Amino acid sequence: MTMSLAANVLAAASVYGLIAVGYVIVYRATRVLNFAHGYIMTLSAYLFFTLAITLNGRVWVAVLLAVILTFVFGAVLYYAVLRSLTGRPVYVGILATLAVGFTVIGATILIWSPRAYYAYEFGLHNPLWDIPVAGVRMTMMRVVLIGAFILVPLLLGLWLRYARLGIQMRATAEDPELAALRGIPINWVFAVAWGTAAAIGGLAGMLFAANANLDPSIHLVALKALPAALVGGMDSIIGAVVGALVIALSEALAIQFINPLVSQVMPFALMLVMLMVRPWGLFGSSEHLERV
Amino acid sequence: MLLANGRLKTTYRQEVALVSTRARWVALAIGVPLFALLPFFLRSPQLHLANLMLIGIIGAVGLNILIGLAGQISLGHAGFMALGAFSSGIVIHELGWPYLATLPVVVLTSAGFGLVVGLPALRLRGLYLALATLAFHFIIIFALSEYQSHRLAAEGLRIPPPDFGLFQINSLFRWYYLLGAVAAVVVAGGANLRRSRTAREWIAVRDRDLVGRALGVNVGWMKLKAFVLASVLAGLSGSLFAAYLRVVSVEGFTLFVAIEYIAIVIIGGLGSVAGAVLGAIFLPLLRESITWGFDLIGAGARRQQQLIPLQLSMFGLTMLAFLIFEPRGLMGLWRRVRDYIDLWPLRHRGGR
Repeated sequence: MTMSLAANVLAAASVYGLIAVGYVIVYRATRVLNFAHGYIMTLSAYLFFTLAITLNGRVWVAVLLAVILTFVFGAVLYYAVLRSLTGRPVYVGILATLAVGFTVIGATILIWSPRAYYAYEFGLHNPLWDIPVAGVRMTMMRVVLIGAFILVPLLLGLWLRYARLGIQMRATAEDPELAALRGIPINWVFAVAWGTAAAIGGLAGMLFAANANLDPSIHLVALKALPAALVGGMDSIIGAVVGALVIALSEALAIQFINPLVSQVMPFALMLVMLMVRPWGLFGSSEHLERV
Repeated sequence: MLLANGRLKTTYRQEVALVSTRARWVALAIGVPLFALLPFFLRSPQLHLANLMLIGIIGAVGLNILIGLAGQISLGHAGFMALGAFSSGIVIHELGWPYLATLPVVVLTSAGFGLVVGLPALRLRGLYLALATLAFHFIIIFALSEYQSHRLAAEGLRIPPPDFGLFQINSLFRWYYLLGAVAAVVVAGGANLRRSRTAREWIAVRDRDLVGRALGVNVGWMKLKAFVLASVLAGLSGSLFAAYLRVVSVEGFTLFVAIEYIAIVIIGGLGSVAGAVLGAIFLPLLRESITWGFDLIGAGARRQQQLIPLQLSMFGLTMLAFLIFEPRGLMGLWRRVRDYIDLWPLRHRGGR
């Protein structure tokens, strides 16, 4: 009972966490909350499904190609739209990303039609696996999701810590002007941040869609990952992981002890409480937050 | 007044005049009768569209005060509208009041909730405030949909048309005049407010709250005032919207509606009442233009499936174009055209 609850929480947290990491990367770099994230994720999942079908079910090649394409999309998006909006008021960032999102989701539905796609259409089956821990049963894609949830933030953390571009990215996040003076190509760094965020979100979307099914409404998951990013702290990757666990746990507890409908608003109620008492989140840095 | 265009104001009276130039008197003299006689020239689909625009104007003027003047971003507009609609619905359903009697209740509850939702604005600003209002949106809609599913029919509460005793508001034609009257009052009130001390205090809060504070503006109180006013106007427009469609239901108040209202305010022109009106007229026209385009090229069966995604993309691209190329919205475009004509042929690159 408790084990299966824990497994469910972990599976839900994996989706939220992977998406929330994308919000955090973009916010750290450009101080924009990317409301288009969920829509880009949806587009990415569609790319993956199409590639997998055209490649006759070579799933891993399709995943790799879709991730690369999504990265390029994110980077191009930064150069095409967001770069020209730097230094503008906060609402511009919110609305511009929403506008990008609507454009993307509209185009996605136009291209692929709103019908639901299933992973078995390209021969990917999703069997129930027995997990050797305490007799929990879980679908294969959920296991893959949890694996990605552990692996991706870890690799990202290592990359930010040791890789040249990662160090440049941290420096730029800390002080863009100083970074530019030191010769760091900050626009390229920002574009890489947008691309990386899009790619990670895209991966989450692909796995999520492969586990259940793919239709345009999967972007709604990204809305619930927003509280995860905020509760953890908008500029902390560890925060996104912890925030996702907290949000998923609160949802699961609401289902168990209150009623399933309440779980729908639980993330937002938690976000509101967090905003009132500690707006910078559990792990975020408070100095960036302008207070009145 | 040295300039022929008469926009050089030399006295304080001119500065604060509601109708400041002769050209505007002329525009008013043409515009008001046109507005009053419009329904005689429209067929019912267009009249329906015009009525929806009038409802949009009422809400947009309120949101424009909140975002454009006071500089507080709210994603909770649809939630406020839903609250207004349900204030009417609940009073009608539980107490059996006639629709018109519920309007004071709508104003009071909207004001109260505006105060509550405005509270986070005392501590937060910018993005974090937007997120707080987003959270409020989901919580409000959740609470109302719980009420709807427990106390009302699944599709919501059907409500009777407004009844003035002598006549009922039961046709598109009559609705136009009711909504038109409310919208006219709201627009005139908004324009009047725009020239007051209150508006200048809001602008101080928007541009630099610290300086406003130093000049003696009570920043927190002004923020709450803006939230309350925007909430009341949103509640009113939500209630009228529900009465117009004759059904109270959470269905019509999605997050997308809230975003659409922000888009109206920005595409129209932040901080100006005329901008809110222009935006509220422009956006429905943009949406309808795709339907008209389909009719023009005679696209048949494939049409329905492609209509909504096309509208979404078009909406997104338009919003993006305005944000990038003309952040002052349609009002900014109009000012550019006006200045071009005014200064022709001696246009120079300096100035504005």
